[in-house]
Amino acid sequence: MNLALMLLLMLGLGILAMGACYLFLKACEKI
Amino acid sequence: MFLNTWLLPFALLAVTTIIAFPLSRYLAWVMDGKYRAPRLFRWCEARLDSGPQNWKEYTASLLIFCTLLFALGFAILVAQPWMPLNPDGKWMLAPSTIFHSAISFMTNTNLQHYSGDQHLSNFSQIFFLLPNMFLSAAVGFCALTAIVRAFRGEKLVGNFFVDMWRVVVYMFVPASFIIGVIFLQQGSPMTLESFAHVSTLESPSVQQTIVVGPVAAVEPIKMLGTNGGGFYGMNSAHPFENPTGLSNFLNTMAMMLFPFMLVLMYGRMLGRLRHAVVVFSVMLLLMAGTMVWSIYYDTLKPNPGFTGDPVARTYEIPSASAPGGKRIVTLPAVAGLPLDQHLGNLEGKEMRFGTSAGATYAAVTVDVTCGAVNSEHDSLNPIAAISPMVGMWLNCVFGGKGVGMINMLLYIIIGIFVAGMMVGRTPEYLGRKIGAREVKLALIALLVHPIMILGPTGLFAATDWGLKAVSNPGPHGFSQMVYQFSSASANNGSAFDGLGVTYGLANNPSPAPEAIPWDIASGLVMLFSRFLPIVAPIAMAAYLGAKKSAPFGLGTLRDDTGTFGFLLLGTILIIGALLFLPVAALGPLAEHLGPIPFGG
Repeated sequence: MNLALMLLLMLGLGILAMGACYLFLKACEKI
Repeated sequence: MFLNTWLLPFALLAVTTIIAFPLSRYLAWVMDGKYRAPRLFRWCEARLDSGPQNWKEYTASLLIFCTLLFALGFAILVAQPWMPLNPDGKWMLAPSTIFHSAISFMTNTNLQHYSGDQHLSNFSQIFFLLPNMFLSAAVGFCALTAIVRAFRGEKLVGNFFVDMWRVVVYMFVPASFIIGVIFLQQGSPMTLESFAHVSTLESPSVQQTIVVGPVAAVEPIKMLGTNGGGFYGMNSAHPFENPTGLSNFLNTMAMMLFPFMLVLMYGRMLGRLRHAVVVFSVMLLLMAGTMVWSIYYDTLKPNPGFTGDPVARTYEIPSASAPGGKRIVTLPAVAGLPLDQHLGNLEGKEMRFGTSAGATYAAVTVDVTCGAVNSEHDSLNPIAAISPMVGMWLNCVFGGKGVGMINMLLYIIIGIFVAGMMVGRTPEYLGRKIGAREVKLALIALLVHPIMILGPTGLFAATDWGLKAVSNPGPHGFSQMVYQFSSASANNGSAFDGLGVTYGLANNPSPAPEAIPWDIASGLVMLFSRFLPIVAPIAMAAYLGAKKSAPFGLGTLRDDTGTFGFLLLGTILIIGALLFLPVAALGPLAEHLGPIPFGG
């Protein structure tokens, strides 16, 4: 796969995972 | 022999404990903001201070800061080929390895799917490793501080950025400078040069090139911050990272220091030092237990590979990835060799530190979730390897800075809840009644760890992702997979290095075949296992702290007695055994009891 595309994909995956942690914080506010 | 074996571990426990008590007072003093900083520092603090934050704002700041830290680390590793201090023109790491490394260092794990001396330039070592090591270590520290303030009933739990400043500038930097000077004196290199060209002892005409760099700057915060990511692939077994017996003692003590102090800081900030001492004692007992276990079964027992069959044997091992579903393994005859094994298992050990130094370090580095190694954990005797695994599975034997005590809080809440149910009283902690909401949050945070270990291990053990990566097809191969995900989930960073997980540089023509799935899976495990067990306990502390505090009554379960200590110890051991005994049986125990050394 193209190197630049792969780099973007990996960066996006990391930021997406951190976003999931933020959603978990929001869920904790509602428990 | 007795003194040689046992002096190091127990001297470490005693010296670190003695130092931790007075220094924890300094930590509490700084985090409570009772100091008066020099004018320049006050100016910096004022710039960082965005105002007091409630627990939601504090936690959101923590997550956003770490996201930016990940992106910055990612960018620095991508830019490596075009940056200075790269005389041999190293290309960038593979994209999946950059993803893995950026998460690894941002989460204080430092699990390395690369070898620093082969794959990173000095620019990357300085600008990727060092900031991550200082900042990721401070994040866990701040999380615990926020929890303490929430327990004190404060609606505003401080300012995340000011707390980060306090931890880095008033604690990590001065401590790192002192340790760094000692390491420099002991022989660690400190230079911006990338290579030293030397003549060998064998012949002055033969030139050898040795990788050097700012090792003495990286090493102190690597240990003090329980980071564990080495400048060299060999980590603390390398004579430049760990030159002498004295540096080895300091090295080990440095990684124990902050985890020890933070438990006591927790008690001092809450005004409940006796409670903290009980918790500290439970942790100390568990740490001594893991040390004794690894030393007894590794330093005082022979390497079973050299006590096997006196003749060569051939075995057929079932293997899903081998042609025909079977792998033929021939073990050489080694038992007849005139080996003296009275010094125990010496495979993968640095003898210059003493025979028990490897087993001691192995137990300590996982208990405090540092992950630096001065011996090869993959070479530990099978049953001795249970000790580092248990340290990672329990994840509360002092643990990482802040997060170890946070994990222990989860066990405290569960233990008190179960005890309350048994005697028919409403469970209380710090005078506040524990409700369903607090128990739910504690259980969610507690279950993240086993789910993140057992789920991916099962997936990889059942597919070629795992089977093609292990160096042994039997129980030892399973141990390698369990260890990898345990290390990732505990934010530890040590590894069984027989596992093929290194892609290397992006232009590497022959990477490990399954490196990419290991990079991505380990990266995600590190990330979720870092932040979910930080977010939920902060929420739990905020909800508990908001409740009305009642004075101790006759029916209150006191949390500063030996009885409470035994309750806590029992809770930890029972929950730990229920969660992880099955994988211990499939991995190291099966290997120890099985007929084939090293599982084939």
